[in-house]
Amino acid sequence: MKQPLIFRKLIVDDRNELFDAQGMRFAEFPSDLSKVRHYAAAILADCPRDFLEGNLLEQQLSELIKNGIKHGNLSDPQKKLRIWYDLRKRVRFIVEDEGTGFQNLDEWNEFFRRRQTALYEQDFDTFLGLASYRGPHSDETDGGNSLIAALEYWNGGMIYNSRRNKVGVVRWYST
Amino acid sequence: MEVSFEPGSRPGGVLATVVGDLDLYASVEFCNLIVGKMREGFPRVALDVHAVSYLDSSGVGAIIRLVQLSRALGGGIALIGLNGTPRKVLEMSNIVSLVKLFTDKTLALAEWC
Repeated sequence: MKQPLIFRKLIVDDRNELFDAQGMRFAEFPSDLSKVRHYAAAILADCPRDFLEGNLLEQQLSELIKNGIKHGNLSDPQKKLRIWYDLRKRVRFIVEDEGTGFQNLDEWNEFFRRRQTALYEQDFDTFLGLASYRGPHSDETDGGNSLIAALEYWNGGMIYNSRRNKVGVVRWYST
Repeated sequence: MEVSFEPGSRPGGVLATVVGDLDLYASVEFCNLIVGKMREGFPRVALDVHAVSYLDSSGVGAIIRLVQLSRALGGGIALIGLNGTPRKVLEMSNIVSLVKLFTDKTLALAEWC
């Protein structure tokens, strides 16, 4: 029997515990898109090896940083990207930019619902047309799929604040 | 990131070996190189990615665009040697179902391009 289709979605919740930064370390970076991977590497410099999963953690953290700098701060060098992080027992980040927020979040959730429905129904022609999300400011360097992988990767949650310029994420690891 | 091309074994087929990271800094150049080869008349592409150890959403987006264009031109995309983080990223993005996978170049040349 076919498994039922379960939709994940991006959630807005200001009061979520993922925004509790107590005890977390902090770093602040200028909005330099050419240094996205450098910033991620700096944050993860003393991360326990088991959490890195090759370079998968660096890749997923880089996506959060890139989204904040490019889509949040619009690469404005006057705007900062702030990151709170905790690499003990599990990996947790809060990433905040100074932009106007991810205003297309509800539209993205609807896009993702249609995309996953097409995949579930093995309608690959429709799925191929929905493989990448294109927002109003997407360009050729935007893959349009970072949030899709992120919802899968951040297995303990991915939550936005109501202004939608701050995201909290956590990944748990089996012992 | 570097791409080198070899002739395929059938009309319209080509094998492209990719070395380096497919990230936000390299994905546009990567995509343009493969698109150029497709438009030369080689829409059936096998990408040898065994030497690609880093793939981000920009690289995934490039692969999606290549799949879309190759199918529009009557071809398709296969990946050779997809492993490690790039494989996990493509799986998390549900893109693996859109490409044919081969473990080695010999098989891809015999069965795909």
